[in-house]
Amino acid sequence: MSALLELRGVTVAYGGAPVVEDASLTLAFREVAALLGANGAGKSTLLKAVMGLVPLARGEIFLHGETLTGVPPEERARRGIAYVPEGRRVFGGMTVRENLEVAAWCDAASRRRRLDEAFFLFPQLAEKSSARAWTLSGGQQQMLAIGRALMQAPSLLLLDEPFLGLAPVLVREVVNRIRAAAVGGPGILIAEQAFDAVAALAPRGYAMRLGRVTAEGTLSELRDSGMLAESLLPR
Amino acid sequence: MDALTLVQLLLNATALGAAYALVALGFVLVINATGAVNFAHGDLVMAGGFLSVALAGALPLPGIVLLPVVAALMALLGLALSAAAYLPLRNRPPVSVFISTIAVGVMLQNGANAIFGAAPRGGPPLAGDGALSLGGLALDRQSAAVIVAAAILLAATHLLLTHTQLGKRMRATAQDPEMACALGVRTGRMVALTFALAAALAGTAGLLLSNRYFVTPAEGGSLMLKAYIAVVIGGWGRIGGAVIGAFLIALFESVIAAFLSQPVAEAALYAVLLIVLFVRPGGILGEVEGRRA
Repeated sequence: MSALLELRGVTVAYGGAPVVEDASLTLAFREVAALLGANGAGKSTLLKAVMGLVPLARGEIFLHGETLTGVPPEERARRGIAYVPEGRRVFGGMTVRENLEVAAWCDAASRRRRLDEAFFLFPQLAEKSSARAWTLSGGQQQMLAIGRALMQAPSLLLLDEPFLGLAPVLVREVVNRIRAAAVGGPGILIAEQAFDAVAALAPRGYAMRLGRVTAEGTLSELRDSGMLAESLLPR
Repeated sequence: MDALTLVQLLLNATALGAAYALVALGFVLVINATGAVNFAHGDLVMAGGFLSVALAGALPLPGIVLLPVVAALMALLGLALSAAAYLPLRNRPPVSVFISTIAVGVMLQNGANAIFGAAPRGGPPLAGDGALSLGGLALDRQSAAVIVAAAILLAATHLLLTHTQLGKRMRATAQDPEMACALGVRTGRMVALTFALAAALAGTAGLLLSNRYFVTPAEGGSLMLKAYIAVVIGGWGRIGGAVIGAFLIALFESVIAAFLSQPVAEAALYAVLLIVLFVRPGGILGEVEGRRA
């Protein structure tokens, strides 16, 4: 059976200089995996490449065994990839409810059902459903960004540094929500630097350093091998 | 000046402001969707005015019946404008779009001149001429009809943008096109539809203005300037601010002009613009961050 997501030799270059080089990884259906590395390791660029937001210089990406070469980002979203970027990027001038609704590609009844599910998963958002997104706290915006992605009913969820800038108590809450969303839900690839937070979610992961995937294994293997410590060092 | 005259002046100002509000609304929607100024926007108002003149000549129907036809045809013109002057240049600096829309504006202006001539032409009344008697006041029927029609169009646009999936996706595209794209929104299509909506609003404003104020091929520039001023006064990128700015301009052109004179009122309007720029550079409602073009 083919993997949910497979990257083969992916290289991304900005202005001729490779930011991600020859990266390969796989994610099984409903698997939660981590992509660990320091700032500038290429994690965010790799997620953007999966979403189609940056072009590949070399390599190929497959979703459900089908190539994504030439598939634009909006079509990738409709094929089941949801993306939560670093910095959340909620639509600040729109309400919480509108932010959620805009991502649902389905009929009105399904949209209402997904909205109910999102509000069940994130009760704080239900309380603020009519508030403009820019008025939310950082933690609430992060939940909104994740909730918005889940409104797509994705088969693959890409999370870019979901714990960045959150207080420890909020990190625990977001971890719990992601864990709840993952039950019977999408495969999740989490790009993170916060090992402890991501270790509570992902049994397996990849280490990245200077644009390359340098190690693969369970998180305890990565931690014990020393590769992770090296990856988490800044350039 | 007696009370009746003042009421009539305020009614005229409201009618003019309502039409200007449609112009400014379309103008700001395109700014938000593209980050660039559509310099052909005033010429779209002019085109809507001449389209109304032509339709009224061919079909002896009241303006209110022609209005949806004008809106639909102008929406098609907006789609053509986006295909010709925006979408091929969307990844270029905004100045490319400035130039391309100026080019389209000049083409519209010269096209109208060639077809209709330079002389002012009067469009159809919206719902007949004459006066409405209301509590002893004789209110101009055309002004009242323009206010009602513009209010319905403004409300319909508000509902479209806030209560439909299409409108929410148009707003999402305007706020963060890359993120909207990552959520599955076909942003190019949303921008094209925004041009269509803006052109439809401009065209209907052209119809509403064409009866009372006539229409000439060269008026697009001054209408564009008014829309620009409305957006600067109201707050760059603010839909509500554009509407407020439009009514303020109409107040000066109708009421202040009646008390002082047209040139003094116009000078006073620009003085207010300068004061706003000095005291509140972001406009009355404040500028949407990073949108200035």
